Amino acid sequence: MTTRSALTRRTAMAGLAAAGTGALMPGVARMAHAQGSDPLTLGFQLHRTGIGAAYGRWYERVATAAVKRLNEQGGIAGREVRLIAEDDGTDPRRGAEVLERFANLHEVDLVFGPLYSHVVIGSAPRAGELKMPYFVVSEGHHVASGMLNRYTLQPGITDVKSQVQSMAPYIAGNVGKKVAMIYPDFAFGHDHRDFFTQAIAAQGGEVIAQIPIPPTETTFTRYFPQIPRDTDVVYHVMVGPAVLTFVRELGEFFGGRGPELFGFIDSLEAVSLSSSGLEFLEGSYFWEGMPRFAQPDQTEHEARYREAVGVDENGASVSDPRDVSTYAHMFGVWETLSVIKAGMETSGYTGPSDRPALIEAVEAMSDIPLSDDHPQGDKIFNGRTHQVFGRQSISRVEDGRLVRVHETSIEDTLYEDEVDYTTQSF
Amino acid sequence: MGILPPPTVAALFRTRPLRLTLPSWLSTATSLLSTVVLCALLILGTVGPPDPLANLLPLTIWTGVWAIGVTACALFGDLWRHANPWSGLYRVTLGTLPPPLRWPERLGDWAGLAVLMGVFAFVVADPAPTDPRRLAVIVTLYWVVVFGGMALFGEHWRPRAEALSVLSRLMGRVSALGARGNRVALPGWDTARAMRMPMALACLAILAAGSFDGLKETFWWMGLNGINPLEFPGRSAVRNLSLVGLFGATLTMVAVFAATIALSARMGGASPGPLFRAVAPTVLPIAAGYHAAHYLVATLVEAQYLRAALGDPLDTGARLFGAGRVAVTTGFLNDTASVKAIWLGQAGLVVAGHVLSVLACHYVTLRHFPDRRGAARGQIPLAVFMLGYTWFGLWLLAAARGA
Repeated sequence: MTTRSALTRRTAMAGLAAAGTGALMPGVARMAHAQGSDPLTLGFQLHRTGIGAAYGRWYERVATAAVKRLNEQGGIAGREVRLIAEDDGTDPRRGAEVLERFANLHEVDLVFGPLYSHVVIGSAPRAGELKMPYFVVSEGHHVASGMLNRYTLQPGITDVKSQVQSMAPYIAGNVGKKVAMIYPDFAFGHDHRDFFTQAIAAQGGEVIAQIPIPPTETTFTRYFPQIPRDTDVVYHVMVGPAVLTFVRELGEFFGGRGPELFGFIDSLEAVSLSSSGLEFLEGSYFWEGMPRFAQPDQTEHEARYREAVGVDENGASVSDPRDVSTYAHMFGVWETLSVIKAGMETSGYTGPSDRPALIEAVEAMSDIPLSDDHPQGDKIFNGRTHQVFGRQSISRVEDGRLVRVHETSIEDTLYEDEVDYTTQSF
Repeated sequence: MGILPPPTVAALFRTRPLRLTLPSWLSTATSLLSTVVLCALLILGTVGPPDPLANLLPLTIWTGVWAIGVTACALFGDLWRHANPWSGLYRVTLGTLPPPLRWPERLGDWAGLAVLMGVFAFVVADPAPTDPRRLAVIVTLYWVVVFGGMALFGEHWRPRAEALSVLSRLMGRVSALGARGNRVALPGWDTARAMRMPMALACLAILAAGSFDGLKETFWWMGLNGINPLEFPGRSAVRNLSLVGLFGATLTMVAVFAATIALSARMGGASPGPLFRAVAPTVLPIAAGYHAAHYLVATLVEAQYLRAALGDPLDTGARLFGAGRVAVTTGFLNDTASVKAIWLGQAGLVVAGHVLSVLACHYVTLRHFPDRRGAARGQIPLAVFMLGYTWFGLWLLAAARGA
């Protein structure tokens, strides 16, 4: 930005001299004065339309609240923060186009925000080519797996591998050791299948049945006879519009006498637990990235976060209690912006030429304490894999509310590095 | 269809005159206002917020005009006659001059059908129809082409060749006031009039495009085409498929309808060509009911964004007209009672459209067959077609959807 401002100023001064008039003087004076204190512009790649729109709406709400707070606290290194939101349509090809727009049209300092894995995987290579820092909030394992590049980081939300792995000790110790997995038959479900099968085996448990469901399926009862009779736990990660049908049919199939149920709240993000059919979930367990319902031991940091975003103690909008948020994931946007602020301030970021320094500053981060900046909890950032690690919650549905019964340690979520991005050049 | 006695049907379709005609100066004024508003919207689309749900250009075009406006035409008649952004400007600039060229008669309304299909293709298949920057360019070009056509061929070129004019005029026929708003009877009475072939085909195309727009979101369609709805690859990945689907659905619709008409004409002893042109417009109430139902949920959400953007058109946090940044909610989709109300509302719209279509079709066929017996026989294939479509419409509403 320094370079660009200087060029702009030189051009303007040349124009002023050529015109031989003072008419442009106020503009030039303002520009010269603003140099170094121009706003920072952050490109917000938003799933505004398409299948990610429900997440996008809440991601936008959190980002707006977080930036408002940042600016009230003096911005980043004294510079105002401005958001420019572009819709990627939850479309990988458009995601890459949006990155080009951010770089060439809006000339942003960095880009953050996408959630859906296929969009991140479709966009990240372009971020690398454009040398644009790309902070994703996706929870996919694609960052830490080494699939992406040095410009892509995930410092605000944990990845699915660590989430799934950290569930195994509690399930094996408290819920049951013989697990039947029901998952949608595509990458998202396969990640759960592979990571959990391995993790439960390490805890002395066993996945005794893997039941993939075609993604276009809308009725499920015919799959349930594949669940072995001696199953202790059914692990389910169905997503999409047929989830309510899935839960109702599963409940009707077992009639309240079946195995324990364990699921990922991804199935029911932005869905009210009082929805018709979900009464069958009473007593079942869920992974939550952050507990939707305010727990009795909720920290003051989380209480302030809820207030800033406008979410009540049930995880719904304060302006409409029926409007349930994507609470288990959306904190990632808030915390990503906190990391961006810390990284920019540590690196002394002044403009695009400092992007490598910004990435190095984030890579150098490790322990991240619980705070207003990180209301979900303390974390460890792994600079080599560009992935953050943090505590996970297991909640049980009691009287239609999710009550946390276990919080993992961060150590439960760690695994061997699969990449070292710091060895890649800028 | 043959249950109602002919005199009862005739009574339902007997129109009464209305004295509601707007003076032409007022129509010119509203159109000029529309031109000014469009200019402002195009500027906003170009330099305003890039977020399509914060920018008034896509919100006005897709929520205001396409979703709500077209439905409003089905309720109140051809409002676009007064609200289009060309007529007023044409009248005050070129209106007194004779047009330099004459629109070739043999092209007739075929251009209108072609442009209408082009707009449907944009709605159904464009990768980013709501992107403000792209939309500003496309709408500007469209405006220039239409105004250029009017400059060359005169004001009458617009209703013949401009897609929204064609759509609004045809949807306006569903209104109790008719397309022109000068007579009143049972809604749909104005569809019981034969049209020339291009516009008869346009009626079927409107129904086919609306149906395909719903169909392409269903798990059934995605399963058929190997698309994972839970990780939908985005509109850009299915652009060609959507185009093929749109034109395939339209051709299928025309073929099935033509076969139905041929059978009907044969069974009832009527001439198939005139029967085709007379019955095709009677599908318009179905199309209108489905359009309103299809866009109902999206409109309930996007109207909130539209209201917010009206209060804050530059996305600067302003609060004009007492609006400003509002917390948009989809909570009504999380509530059993409101979801039920919405679904019943949608089903009601679809069924109401079908009832009106069946009545209009009945009324038309009574006049096209030589006698009552012929009409009763000839109506059988048409009844099967209409009932089949009712089932299809309700299935579409209830089907699992992604994307």
